[in-house]
Amino acid sequence: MSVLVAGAQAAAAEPAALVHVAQVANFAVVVSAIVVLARGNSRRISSARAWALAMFCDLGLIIALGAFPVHDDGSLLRHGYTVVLVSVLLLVPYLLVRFAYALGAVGRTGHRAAATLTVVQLVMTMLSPPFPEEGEARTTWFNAYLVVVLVGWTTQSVLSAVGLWSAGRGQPSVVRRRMQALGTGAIVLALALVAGSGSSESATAQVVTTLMGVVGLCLLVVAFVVPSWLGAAWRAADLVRLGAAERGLMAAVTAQEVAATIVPAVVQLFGAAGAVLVDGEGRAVAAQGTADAEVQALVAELAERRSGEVVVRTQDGGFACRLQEGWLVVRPGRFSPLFGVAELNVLDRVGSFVDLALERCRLFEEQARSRRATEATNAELQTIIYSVSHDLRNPIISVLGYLDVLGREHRGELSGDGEHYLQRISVNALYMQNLIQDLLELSRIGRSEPAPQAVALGNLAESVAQELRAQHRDCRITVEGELPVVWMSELRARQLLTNLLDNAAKYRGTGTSVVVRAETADGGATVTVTDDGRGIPPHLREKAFDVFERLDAAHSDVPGTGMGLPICKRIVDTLGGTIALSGPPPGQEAGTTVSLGLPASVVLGWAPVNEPEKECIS
Amino acid sequence: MTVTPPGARPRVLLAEDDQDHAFFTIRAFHEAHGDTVEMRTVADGEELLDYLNQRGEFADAPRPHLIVLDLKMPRKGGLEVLAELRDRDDLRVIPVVVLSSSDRTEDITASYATGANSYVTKPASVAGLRQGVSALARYWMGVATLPPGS
Repeated sequence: MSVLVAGAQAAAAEPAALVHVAQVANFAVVVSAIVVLARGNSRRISSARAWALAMFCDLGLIIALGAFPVHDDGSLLRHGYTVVLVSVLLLVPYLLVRFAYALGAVGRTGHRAAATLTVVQLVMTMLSPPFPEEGEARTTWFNAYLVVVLVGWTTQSVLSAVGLWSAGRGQPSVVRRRMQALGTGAIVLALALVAGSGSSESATAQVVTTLMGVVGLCLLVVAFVVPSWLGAAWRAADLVRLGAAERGLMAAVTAQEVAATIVPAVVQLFGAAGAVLVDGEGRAVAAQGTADAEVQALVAELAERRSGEVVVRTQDGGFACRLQEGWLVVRPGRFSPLFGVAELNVLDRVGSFVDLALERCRLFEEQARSRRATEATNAELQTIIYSVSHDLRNPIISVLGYLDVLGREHRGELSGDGEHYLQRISVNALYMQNLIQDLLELSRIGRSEPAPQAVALGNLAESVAQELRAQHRDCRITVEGELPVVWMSELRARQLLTNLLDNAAKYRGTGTSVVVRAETADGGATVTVTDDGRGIPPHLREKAFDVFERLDAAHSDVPGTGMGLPICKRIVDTLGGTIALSGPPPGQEAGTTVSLGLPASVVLGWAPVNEPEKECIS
Repeated sequence: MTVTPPGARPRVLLAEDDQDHAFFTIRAFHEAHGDTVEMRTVADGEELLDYLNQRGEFADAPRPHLIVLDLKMPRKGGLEVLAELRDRDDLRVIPVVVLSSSDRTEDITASYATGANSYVTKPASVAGLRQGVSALARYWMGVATLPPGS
C-alpha cells in the first residue's frame, strides 16, 4: 500500500527542498481553506459548505499524517497507521461527491453509487492483510484491492468534476466560473493524489504531483473565496447585464415597470430561484418563481426586521435588500450557498438603483397628478370664463340697445349734461362689450379650434395691412420679402396678425412705419413685426402678455382691452411656438419688435406676397 | 286645424325669456315689416306649448305662422320644445327659426337635427340684431311662402 501513501510520506522520507516547500504550501492552502470555510458563516452553515469543510479537514489530516510517518517495519502499529491513512485518503473523492450532491451538481443515484463504492473500499481496507512492502510480490487480493480503489477513485472524481463543471451552465458568470474552478480543482487534485501514489521513486515526479496538489487545492479554495480581482473579472459579463437592467430602470415610470424590469434581471444576475419586489405597504409589486403564500410569508417575516442592515438573510436562505420603502428579495437558488460578499454588494447596488428608480417614479406620478389637477382646474376655469362672458354678453347687448333707442328717439328730451352722460355710458358699455368679446375669444382659443389649413402669412399680412391702412392713414404698414406658409387655422392667423399689426400701428406714438418680415430659424420661422414708435421699457415687456394689462396710462385714450397680446400668445402657444417683445432692430433708434417663433412642425414652406389682385388666400 | 294664410297679417310667436331681447326683437320685426306683422311672445318652453295647445290664458290664442325660438329658456328649453313640436302632426308644419346667442357647433347641429328650419346666432349688438331680424322678416314674410294650413 505504500504506493498510495508514498506521495504523502515523500517529503519526510526524501526531504528534497522543493517538495518540502510544496508540501508546506499544500498544508497552508488547506488550513486557509478550513479557516475560510469555518469562518464564512459560523452561525448558519449550509450543507454544501459543511461537506467542503469536511473535505479540507480530511486533506489536512492526510498531510498531517504524511508528515509524521511510522517506519517500524512489519509491526502492527505500522499496519494500523497505513489503514488509517488510506481510509482517510479514500474519503477525499467521496467528500467531493457529497459536496457536489449538496449543491445539486450530482444526482441521487451518483451519490449512492459513490457512497457504496466508498463503503466497499473502506471495508476492504479494514479487512486487508498487511500491505506488501516495496519489492515484495503482490498478492491476488492486493491486486484486486488496487483495482477497486483505482476504479472507485476515478469514478467518483470524474463524477464530481463533470457534475460541478456542467452545473454552472446557464448560471450567472461568477457562479459558472466557480463551478468550473471546483470541477477542475477536483479533477486535478484527484490526478495529483493518484499520480503521487505511484511515483515515489522520482523526486521530479514528486515535485510535479505535489505542485498539482497545490494547484488543485488552490482552485478549490479560489472557488470558495473568490479574490476580489478575479471576482471582478468574472463578474464583468454580469455587470454588463446589470448595466442594461439599470438603463431599463431609468426608463421606467411606474413602480410596476420598475418591478417588471428588475425582478427578472435579479433572478438572472444572481442565478436565484425567484425574486420579489415588496412595496412600502408590504404588497408584492412583482414576484417571480415565488408562490403567493411564499410572498405572504416573506412579507410577514420582513415586517419583523427593524435592524438597520441593508442586506439581510431570509429564513429560506435567500437575501433581502432593504429599500427606502419596501424590500427587494432574492430567493435562494441552487447555488446560493456560494453567495459571497461581492454578490451582496452587487445586491446592495441594485437596491440603490431600485430606490432611485422608485423615487423617480414617485416624482413622476406626483408630477403627472399635479399636471392633471392643473389641467382640470384650467379647463374648469376656461369653462367658467366662457360661461360668464357668454352670460355677460346678453345684458350688455340690452344696455347698448336701450342706449341706442334713447339716443335715436329721446335725445331731445335730455337737458344739461344729460347727453354727455349718455355718451359716457355708451363708451363704457361698448368698452365692456369689447372686453367680454375678447375674453370669450381668449377662452375659445385652444378649446374649440377651427380646422387648420395651409395659410400663406405673407398674403394674409398684406390683406390685414390693407384693412388697417384705412384706419391709420399716417402710418406705412409694409410686408417685406418672403413669409412662411403655416399649417394653422386661418381665423387664428388673421386674429394673430390683426392684433399684432393693429397694436403696432395704435401704440406707435410718433412713429411712421410698421414692417413685417421673416427669417428661417431652426427649420421653423421667426416672423417679426417692427415699429419705429416710442418702444416699451424692457421691464414691462413680459407683462404685456398678461390678461387686461395695458402698459401705461399714456395710451389710455387709445381704444383697446389689453387682451390683444394675451390672445396672440394663446394662439402661438397652441402652435407650440413662442412670442416675445424686444427693442428696435440694430440701426434703428426707437421702436418695438414682436418676434413670433414658429416651430418647424407648422412651417410648410415659404412664399412671397402676391400682387394685390391675387392676394386672396385659398 | 287651420292656419290662417299669412297674406295680410303674418303672425310670429317669439319664445324668449329675456324680456329686453324680446323687446328689441319685436321692435326689429316691426321696423322691418311694419305694424302688419303680429308679434306674440311667450317666456319659456312650457308657455310656448300652452300657447300652441291653447291652454289656460292662451285658450283663444291663434296659431302662429312662424315661431322664433330661443334655446336657453327656463322650465323647458328650446330643443326640447322643438322635439315635441316635430312629433305632433298638427304642429310640425309651423316653421321654426332658432335665434340663440350660442354659436356652439353642438347647438347648431342639434337644432337642425331636431327639425329647425334655420339657425340664427344672435348678433352681439342691437344694430346687428336689427339687420338680422330684417333679413329674417324679408325672407320668411317676403321670399318664402308660409304653410297655408291643413
